[in-house]
Amino acid sequence: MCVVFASFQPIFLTVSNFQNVTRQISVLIILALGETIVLIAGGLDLSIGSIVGLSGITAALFSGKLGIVPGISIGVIIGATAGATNGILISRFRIPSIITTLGMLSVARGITYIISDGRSITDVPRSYRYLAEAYLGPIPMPVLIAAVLFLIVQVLLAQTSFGRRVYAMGVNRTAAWLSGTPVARIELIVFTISGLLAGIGGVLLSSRTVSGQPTAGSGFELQVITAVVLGGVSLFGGRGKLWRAMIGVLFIGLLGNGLNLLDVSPYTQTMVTGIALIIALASDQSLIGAKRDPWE
Amino acid sequence: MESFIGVLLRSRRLRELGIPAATIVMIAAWSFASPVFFRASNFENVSRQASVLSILAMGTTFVLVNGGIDFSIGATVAASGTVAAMTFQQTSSMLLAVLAAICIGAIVGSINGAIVVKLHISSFIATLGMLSVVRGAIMQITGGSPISALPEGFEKIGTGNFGPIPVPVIVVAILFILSRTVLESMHIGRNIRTVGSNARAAYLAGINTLWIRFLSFVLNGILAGLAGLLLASRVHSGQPTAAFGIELQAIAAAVLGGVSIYGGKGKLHGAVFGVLFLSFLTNGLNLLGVSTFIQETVIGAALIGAVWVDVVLVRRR
Repeated sequence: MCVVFASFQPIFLTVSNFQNVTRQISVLIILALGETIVLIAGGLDLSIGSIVGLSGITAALFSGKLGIVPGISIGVIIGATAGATNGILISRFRIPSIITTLGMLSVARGITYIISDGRSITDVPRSYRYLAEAYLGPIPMPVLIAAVLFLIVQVLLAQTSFGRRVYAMGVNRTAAWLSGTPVARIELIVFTISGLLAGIGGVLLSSRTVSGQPTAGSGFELQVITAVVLGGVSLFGGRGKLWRAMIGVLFIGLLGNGLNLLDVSPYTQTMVTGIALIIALASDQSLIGAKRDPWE
Repeated sequence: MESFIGVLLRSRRLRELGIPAATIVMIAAWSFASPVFFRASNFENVSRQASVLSILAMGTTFVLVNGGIDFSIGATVAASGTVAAMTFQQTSSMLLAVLAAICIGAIVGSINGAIVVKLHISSFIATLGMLSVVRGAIMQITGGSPISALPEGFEKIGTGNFGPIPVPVIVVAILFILSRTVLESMHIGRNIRTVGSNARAAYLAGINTLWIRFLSFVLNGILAGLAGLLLASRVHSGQPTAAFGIELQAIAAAVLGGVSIYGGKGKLHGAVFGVLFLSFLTNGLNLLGVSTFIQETVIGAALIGAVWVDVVLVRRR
C-alpha cells in the first residue's frame, strides 16, 4: 500500500509527512494497546472514545487552574478511574462487558458535557501543547510515548505470568478459573489498563489541539476495534499479537493519510475503510482455511 | 426478606412485567413532577419521537434473538430516508418513495446477511464495516447536504394524524403486529429463535441455519428502511447525517426490554417497552429542565442498572 501511495504522490514519502502521520496515529496506537489486551482477555471496550473526551477535558480544565503537571495527572487518573469502574461492574457485578462499556460510553460523554457545559475549554497555558508538539531529535514526542507504552504492554503480555493469564482467560474462562487464575482480578486490571491508556491518549489529543474538546474521541472505539481486528486479534478472545494489532492501526492510519494526499473525499475514505475491514477479514479466514461447522 | 425479593424477581411472569411496570411508575412520577407532562399533546409528541426507535428496536430484536448483532441500522436509516426523499422529489409518488426505502433496507440487510453467512465473518465486524460503507456511500451521493425542498405530501406519514392518533403510531402498530406474527407464530420466526438459542441443534433438526441467519438480517434491514422513511418524512427532508449512533440506542432499548445479546431470548413487546422507557425518561427529564448532558449520563446508568438486575438478581449462578 505504501508503495502505491508513494508512486502516485511523492509527498507521501517525505519526512514531514511521516512525522505528521505518526503523530496522528500515536493516539490511536495508545488506545489500540488497551483494546488489544481487553479483546485478548475475551472482553470488549466500547467506552474508550468517551474516556478520551473525559480525560482530555479534565486535563485541559485543571491545567488551566492548577498548572500543567497536576492537570495532566488528573486527566490520566480520571481515565484509569473510568476504566476501573468498567472493570468493577464487569468482574464483580457480572454485567457483560459490551453492555457495561456501552453504558460507560454514554455516562463518560455525559459527564464530559456537564463539566464543559458543551463548550470547548481553551483557557489552557500555552506550554500545554509541549506534550504533543515537542521533538526528541527527529522523533515527535507522542510517537515516543506510544513506543514506550507499546514496549511496556508488549513485555506485560508476552513475558509475564499476567500476560499468559490474560490469554488463558480469553481462550477458556472456566478452565482458567478452575486452574487457579484469579479471573475477576485480571479482568479488573485489564479494563483499568484500557481506561488508563485511553486517559493518556485523551490528554495527548487535547494537548495537540491545545484545548479540551467535549466531542473529542467520539467514534474512536469503532476505529480502534476495526484496526485491531484487521491486525488479527480475535473478537472472541485468546488470540492475537500486539505487534500485529499495531500494524492494523498503521494500515488504517496510512490508508487515511494516503487517500487524503490523493485528494479522495472523506466520504469515500469512510467507505474504503469499511470495505478494507471486510475484505481483510474474509481473506484472513480463507488463508487460515479454518474448519468450520456446517451451521455457522 | 432478601429471598422473598429474590423469588419475586426470579418469577418469569414478573420479570416480563419489569420494564412495563418501571415505565408506568415513571409516568406517574413525571405526572406529579411536571404539570405539562400528563397532557395529550405531550404524549403525542413522545409517541412521534419514539416511533422511529421502536421500529429499529423491533428489527434489532430479530437479529439479537437470532444470535447476531447489527450496527449498520443507523446508516441504513440515513440512506433509505435520503433515497426516499430523492425518489419523492423526482416522482412526487409516495408509493415509489416507500418502495425505494424498503428496497434500500432490504439491499443493505441482504449484503449484511451475505457477508455473515457466505464470508463467515462475525456479524459484529460485518455490520461495523457496512456502517462505514453505507454512511460513506450516502454522504458521497448527496455531497453531505440534505435533500430538502420537497413537494407537498412527503411529510404526511411522519407528521399527520388519523383522527386523534398520530400516523407514525399507526405505522408502528401495523409493523408490530406483522413482526410479532412472523417472530411468534410463523415457522420462520420460530426457526430464527431456535438458531439463536442453539445453532447446532437447529442444524441437526433440519433447519437451514444459514438461510435463517440471512433472513434475520434482511427483515431487520427492511424495518430499518421503513424507519428511515418515517424519520425523513417527519423532518420533511432526507438527511444523510441522520440517525448517527442510533444503533446503540436500539440495542440498549432491546436489552432493557429483556432481549438477550446471546441469542434465543426476548420478546418484541419487551423491546418496544424498552423504547418507551427510554423515551419517557428523556421526555420527563426534558420537561423538568434537566440538561441533555445529564440525560446522556442517566441513560447510560439506566442501561447498566437494568442489565445488572437481569444478570445478578435473576440469573444468579
